[in-house]
Amino acid sequence: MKESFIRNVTEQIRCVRARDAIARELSDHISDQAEVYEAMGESHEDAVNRAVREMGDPVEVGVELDRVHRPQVDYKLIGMAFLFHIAGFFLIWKMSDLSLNPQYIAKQCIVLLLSFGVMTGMYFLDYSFIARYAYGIFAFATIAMFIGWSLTMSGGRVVSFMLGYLYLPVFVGILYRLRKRGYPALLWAMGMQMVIACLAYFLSGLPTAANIYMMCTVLLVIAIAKGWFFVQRKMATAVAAGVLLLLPAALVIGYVILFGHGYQTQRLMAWLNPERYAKEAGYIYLWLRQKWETARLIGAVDNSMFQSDNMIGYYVTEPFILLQLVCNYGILAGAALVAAFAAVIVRAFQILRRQKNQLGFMLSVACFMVILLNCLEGILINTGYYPVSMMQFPFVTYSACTGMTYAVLIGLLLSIYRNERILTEETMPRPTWRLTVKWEKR
Amino acid sequence: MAIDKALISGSTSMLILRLLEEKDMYGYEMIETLQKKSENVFVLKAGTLYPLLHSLEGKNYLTSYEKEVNGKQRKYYSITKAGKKYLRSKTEEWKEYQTAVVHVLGVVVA
Repeated sequence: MKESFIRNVTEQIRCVRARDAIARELSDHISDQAEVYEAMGESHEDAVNRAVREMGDPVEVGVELDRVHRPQVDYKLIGMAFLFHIAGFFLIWKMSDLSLNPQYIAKQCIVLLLSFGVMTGMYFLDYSFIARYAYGIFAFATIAMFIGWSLTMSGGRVVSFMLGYLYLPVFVGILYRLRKRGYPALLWAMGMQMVIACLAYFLSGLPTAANIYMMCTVLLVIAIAKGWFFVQRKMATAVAAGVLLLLPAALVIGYVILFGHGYQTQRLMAWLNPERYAKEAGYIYLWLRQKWETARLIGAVDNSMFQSDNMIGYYVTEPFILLQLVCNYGILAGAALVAAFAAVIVRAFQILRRQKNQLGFMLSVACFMVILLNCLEGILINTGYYPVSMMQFPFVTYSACTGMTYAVLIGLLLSIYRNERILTEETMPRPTWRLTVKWEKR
Repeated sequence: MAIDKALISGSTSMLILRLLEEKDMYGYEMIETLQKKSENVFVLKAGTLYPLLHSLEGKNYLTSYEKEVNGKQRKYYSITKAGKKYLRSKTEEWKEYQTAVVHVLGVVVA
C-alpha cells in the first residue's frame, strides 16, 4: 500500500528528476507514523496502512507537488537574448560592409543560428552534467580547442580566444567533484587552476588568461568559504587567496625586472602616457580620444564612416564595436547598447542571487563574472580607460566562437533558472572516487 | 469543535513558519508538535504539509538540509531571513483581522 501510494504521488509529478527526493521524504514520513502506531500495539501491516490512509489523496498531493516542482522558464532572459542577438546581427550588417559580400551575410546568419541552437541546447540540458563529467568535459574541450587552434583559415586562426572562458564552468564542475575531500582536494583544485591558466595563456593570450585566473581564484575562494572542502575555512581562504594572488604578482614583478622593455610594458606605458608614445602604441589612445571628442549625441560624425580611419583590421571590427556605433549613430545609440549589456548582467545577477543549489550558484557566478568582466572591460577599452587588449562583447560580434561562448553561458544561466526547483542537493551527483592520503604510525 | 477549513489552510503557512522559528524540524515532527501545541485542534495531514513546505522552500522562506539522527537520514527544514520577515507581516495581518472580528462580534453581541 505504501509503494502504491508513493507511485501514485510521483506519477503526478511531470519532472522526473524531482521524483526521487519526494518519494524518499514521503516514505520516511509514513515509516515514522507507522512506528508510532506499532508502538501503540497495532500490527506492522495495519500500522503502515493506517499511516498511508492518513497521508491524504495521493493524486491531490501529487498534483500539488507537481505545481511546485515544475521547470521554470525565464522569459525575461530568453526575450533579451533573442532580441539582442537579432539586433546585434542587423547592427553588424548595417555598420560593416556585409551587404557588399553575400558570403559574409551567410556566415553571420550561420553564427546567429548556431548561437540560438547552442543556447537552446544548453537550456534543455540538465546542468548537473557539468559536475558529473567535469574531467571528461575538461579533456574533450582541451583537445577540441587545440585541434581548432592548430587550424588556420586564410591566415587567421579558426578559433577565437573567447573560448578560453568556457574553462570557468568546467572549473566549477571540478570544484564540485572535489567537495568534502579536505586539504589534498584543495591543493588539487589550486593545481587545476594553474593548469587551466596555462592552457588559457596558450590558447587565448596573456590578458584573457589573467582574467580567467582571477575568476578561478574568486570561484575557489567562494567554494572554500561555502565549506565545500571540509577544511578550516578562514585559514584556508586566507592561505589559498594569498598564494593564488601573490604568485601571479611575483611573476609580473619578475617579468618586469627581467624583461622591463617587453612590448607588454611598452603598451602599458603608452596607455598611461599616450602623447609620449604617439608614434608607437600610444596613437590608438589619441585616436580614441579624438573620436569621443567629435562624437555627436545623435547622428554620424561628419558623415565619415568608421572604417575610413584605416585602423588595424581587428580592432576596428571587434573590441571597438561600441565606438563604431557611436561614430555611426551617436552617443545615445552607444548608451542603448550599454543598457542592453547592463540588462543581461542584472538578470544574471538576479539568477545567481536566488540559487540555493550550490552547483547552480557557483555556475551562475562563473557565467555572471565572464559577461560582467568582458562588458566592463570592453566599455573601458572603448572609452580609453583601460589598455587596449583582446575582448569581445556579447551579441555584437563577427566571430562564431564568441557567439558560441556567450550562447553557452547564457544557455547555462537559463538551465540553472529552469532547474531551480528541481535539482536539490540530494538529486545531485555524488562523489564516485576519493582523493585520500594515508599514513601509518610506526 | 470543528473549525472552518478555509480558516485553517490560510494560516497554515504562518503556523509552520512559527514552529520553525523555534527550531529546525522535519515534516513528521512538525505535525506532531503542531497537534500538541494546539491541543489537537490543528491535525495537519502530511498530504497538505509537504506541498506547502516545498512551496515555501521555493519562495525562499525555508531551506532544507539532510541530517542523520538516531541512524535515520532526516530532511530538516529551517526558516530563512525572508521567511521570518514574511512571518512577521503575516502575524500583523492576522492580529488586525482578529481585532476586526472581535470588534464586529462585540458590536453584534452588544
